[in-house]
Amino acid sequence: MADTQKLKTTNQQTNFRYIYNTRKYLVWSGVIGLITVVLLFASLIPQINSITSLYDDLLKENKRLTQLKLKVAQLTDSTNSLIVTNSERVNNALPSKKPLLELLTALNAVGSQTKVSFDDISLTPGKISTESAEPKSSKRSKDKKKTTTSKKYETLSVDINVTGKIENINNFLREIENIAPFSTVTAMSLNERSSNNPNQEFTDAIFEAKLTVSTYFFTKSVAANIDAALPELTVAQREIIDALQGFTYTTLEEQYQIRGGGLENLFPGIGSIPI
Amino acid sequence: MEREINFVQGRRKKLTKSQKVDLKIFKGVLGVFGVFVAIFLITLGVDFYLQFQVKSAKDQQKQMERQVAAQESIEQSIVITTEKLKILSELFELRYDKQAAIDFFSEIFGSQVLIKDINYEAGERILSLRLQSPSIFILESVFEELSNPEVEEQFGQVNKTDLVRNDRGGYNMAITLSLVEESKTKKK
Repeated sequence: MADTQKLKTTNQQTNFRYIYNTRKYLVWSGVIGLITVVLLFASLIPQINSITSLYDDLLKENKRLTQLKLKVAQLTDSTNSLIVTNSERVNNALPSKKPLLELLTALNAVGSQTKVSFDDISLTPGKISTESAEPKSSKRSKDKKKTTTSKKYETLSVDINVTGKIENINNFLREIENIAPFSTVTAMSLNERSSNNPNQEFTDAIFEAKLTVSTYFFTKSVAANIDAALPELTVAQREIIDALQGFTYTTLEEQYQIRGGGLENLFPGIGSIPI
Repeated sequence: MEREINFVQGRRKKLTKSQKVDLKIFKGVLGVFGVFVAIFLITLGVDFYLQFQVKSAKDQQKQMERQVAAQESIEQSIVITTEKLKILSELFELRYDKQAAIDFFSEIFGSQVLIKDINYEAGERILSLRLQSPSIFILESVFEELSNPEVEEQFGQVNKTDLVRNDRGGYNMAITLSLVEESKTKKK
């Protein structure tokens, strides 16, 4: 039995040796073919996939690079552009903070210009606390879904009473809508003041106008991507810039220090209060 | 004399024939392998080239980003100004509609009718006017003007309310109308 197996093994070895000696080229062809197929699937096909994906990446990166180059060119050329040269006017027309003092100054200037007199000015107060200070009940907070809406702008309203001739009041109403900050007369009530002169002409009669003037200020959060192109002006926006040229702008001097009113020092000789 | 007989002569010829065939196959496979290696080397080269190009593009992007970041204040000013212009455009439009309506009614009513009260709800685009007419005849002409198809075309339904006779024999009346978008013209 052992001799039979030994004979078989010897026969097999002899066969392989015989095949190699007689069909050497074919054996090597098989080996090289096998190596080729293995390398094809193990390296060439992944290589081609890698090239395809790299090419897509290259196209994407080149596109982004083009966008960035365009943006750099736009920023370099923008210093004399219409937007930049008129940005101060636009900011005055729609400020980013409540323009109370600016509005009052402008109203005063228009009033002087149109010869109307102010009898009363009252304000509609804005928010005095943030939403976080509002009292919340635990039940309500579970039921109510909070939605935050970002408003683009807020309104500040001022109620004013002016008196003057009808023509002056008409001029005032017209001019008040040509001031910065941008304002609109949202309510008006006109009453004629009683006169002792029965022969008085309508044009000379004194009228009292109660007006609500609303002005606006910018509250929107703005964000921009580094590779996003700069916005371009539309035709409508160019018209707005033209319209802003005719607005009345007032300069409000900013106060950086407390200015004394020439009051008498009530505590002469006292440098500091002892604790 | 001994004669040598070569029993394997024919067999060698057979081996040589199959070896020739094997050799051809071997050459073919070697050729294919060579082509494969050439293609592999080319793809390797292309891979390295594309990687270099991608890296170069990214380096240039970083340089551009630095330049953009250096001019951030200008970009901020431009973006904010543009946003403000969009809002001003809306506000101008709303205000123009109101002004146009007031001017329109002032013109059709004439100088004898006084617009005493104006109330404008910008959000709802609703305009309310209180008119003062010195006599019933002028009030009648006001009613006629309000019934004009041109008024209805521009402002839709005009509601007339609160007709009151005052002490001087004149009449006060309130009208409420909606400023529809289709009615606006492009004049500012």
